[in-house]
Amino acid sequence: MGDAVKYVYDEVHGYIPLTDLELRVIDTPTFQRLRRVKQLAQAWFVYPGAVHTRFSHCLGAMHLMGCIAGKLSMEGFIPKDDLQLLKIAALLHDVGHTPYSHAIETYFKERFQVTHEDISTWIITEDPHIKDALNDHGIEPKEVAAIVSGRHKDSTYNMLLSSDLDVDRLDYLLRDALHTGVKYGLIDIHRITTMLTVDKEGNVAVPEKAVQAAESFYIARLHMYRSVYYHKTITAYQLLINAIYEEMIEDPEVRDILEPFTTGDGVRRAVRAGKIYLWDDFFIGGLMNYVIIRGLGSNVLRNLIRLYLGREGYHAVLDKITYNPRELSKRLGNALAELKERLKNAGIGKHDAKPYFDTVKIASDENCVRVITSTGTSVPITRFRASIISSVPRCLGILRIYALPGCAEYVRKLSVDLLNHYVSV
Amino acid sequence: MNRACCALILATKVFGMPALRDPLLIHKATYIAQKLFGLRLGYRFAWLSSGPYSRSLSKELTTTGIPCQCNIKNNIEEISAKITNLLARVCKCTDLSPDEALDVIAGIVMLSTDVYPVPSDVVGELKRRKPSLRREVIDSVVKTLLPHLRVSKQITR
Repeated sequence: MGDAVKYVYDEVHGYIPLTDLELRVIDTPTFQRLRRVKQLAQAWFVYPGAVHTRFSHCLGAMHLMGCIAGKLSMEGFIPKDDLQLLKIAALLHDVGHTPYSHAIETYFKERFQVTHEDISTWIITEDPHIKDALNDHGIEPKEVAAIVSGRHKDSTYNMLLSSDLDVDRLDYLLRDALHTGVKYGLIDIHRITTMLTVDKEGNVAVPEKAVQAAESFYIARLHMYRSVYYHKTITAYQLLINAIYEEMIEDPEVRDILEPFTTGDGVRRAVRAGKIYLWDDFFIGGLMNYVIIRGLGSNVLRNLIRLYLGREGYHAVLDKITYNPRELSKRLGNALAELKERLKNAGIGKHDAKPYFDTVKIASDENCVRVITSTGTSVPITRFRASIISSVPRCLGILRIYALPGCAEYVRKLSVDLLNHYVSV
Repeated sequence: MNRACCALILATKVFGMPALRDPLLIHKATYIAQKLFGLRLGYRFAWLSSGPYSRSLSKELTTTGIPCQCNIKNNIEEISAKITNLLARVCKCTDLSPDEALDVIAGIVMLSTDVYPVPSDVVGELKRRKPSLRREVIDSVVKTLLPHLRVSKQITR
């Protein structure tokens, strides 16, 4: 791995050294785009300080990969020659995030089965700026993309970037806790990075003496899910920006301005032409202003934008949290479909009210960090009896009904009538 | 049609109800069904030390249970029979149990068709990752799988 040619000061990790290749990648317009994509999309509607970007998160993930992979290399688990490859994969792991992060990604996922991981893979292998930077430094773009998509032949590489306890999550938990001010999202990063190791099967693991550090990570993540990532108001504004993007694409007067960022194929064409750097929060935000100033598009679209800009969006008229989402889902049956039908029959528009049901894995039995016991065996932390994680629920379910202010009371009454007896147990 | 229901029913048809207690069996059976027998559920699998693993499937299984509430219109019966048959053939020529056989099959298929860089020696790579497996056992599984691997490469293309 090359020597540092520059240092960047990061608010979480302090000075981050950059090699020649890392600097070259960071300096491309494609990567600079991430300075204009907020890490937490609409979280600043609730936490005013949450305006940090994907740019700093990617630098942080790369830095942690350098620390962890460097340690694993000294222990003989990773060849020294692969350290730069792993750091570049961490640097580029989120390069394909859509503007407003997950809010707009949902649109592409549902319509075109395209995720930000797909876009990251396209960028790494097809974007002329990134591809050339990697090739010029002897790094194969396909191999970087394989790690980012979890398909590298060495499963440890995949798990360092994507498993329960990976460099992505370690960085975003710390960064998001710092910027939101949610103190119980903090973790002991130094303990984790110095103790993290690999078991005989190549799983990410910690020795028994560091199990509390891993536990604190899981507990912090659960708190962050409830306080930030699935906060009812933050989710409300994610649904709203998603609805706005959908309306923009469906509106013949506005769609042309958004091209080519209207379909999965269009995004890929932009990547190949080296134009993906234009697709950022500023573009969508500016377009919303332009629609209002010029009076473009439908009344529905302009109304949604006004509500968004004035922070007068969806209210959660029903909000249920459960640690047994399977049971809730079973009880709900077709009730949500019936609610949608009744709202439609009552003349409530598709963007006026939005049922929302999602589940979150708190700890995954299949993909969790392992604990290396004093006898040398490795067990998943979820089955390690001495750990509190063996007793925490495995997943969280969130059921909400959102409505715009004009119809909130009507939707609330209907939702309570129809759903309350399913969710009150 | 809920695709996680299909995955769950497929695994229980092959392994019976114990599949519900081992999510990794569901992941591997679904992977094999998609790769070798053309079941189109659209799950994407990562390569972990435990074998093929889909984050979407894992998430969707948190709300999917038996009995399933959707109407099966997919060819699950036919595909589960094909997987059962393949496992029986592999078990017959090795000393592996059906779930061990599934693990080895899924590993071979993923290492030969879905990871990058493709290992020059797939058998060696699997042996490195699972030291307890004998090389001749993996060789036997590869032989049984050869016709399927050709089909799998066509599906991947």
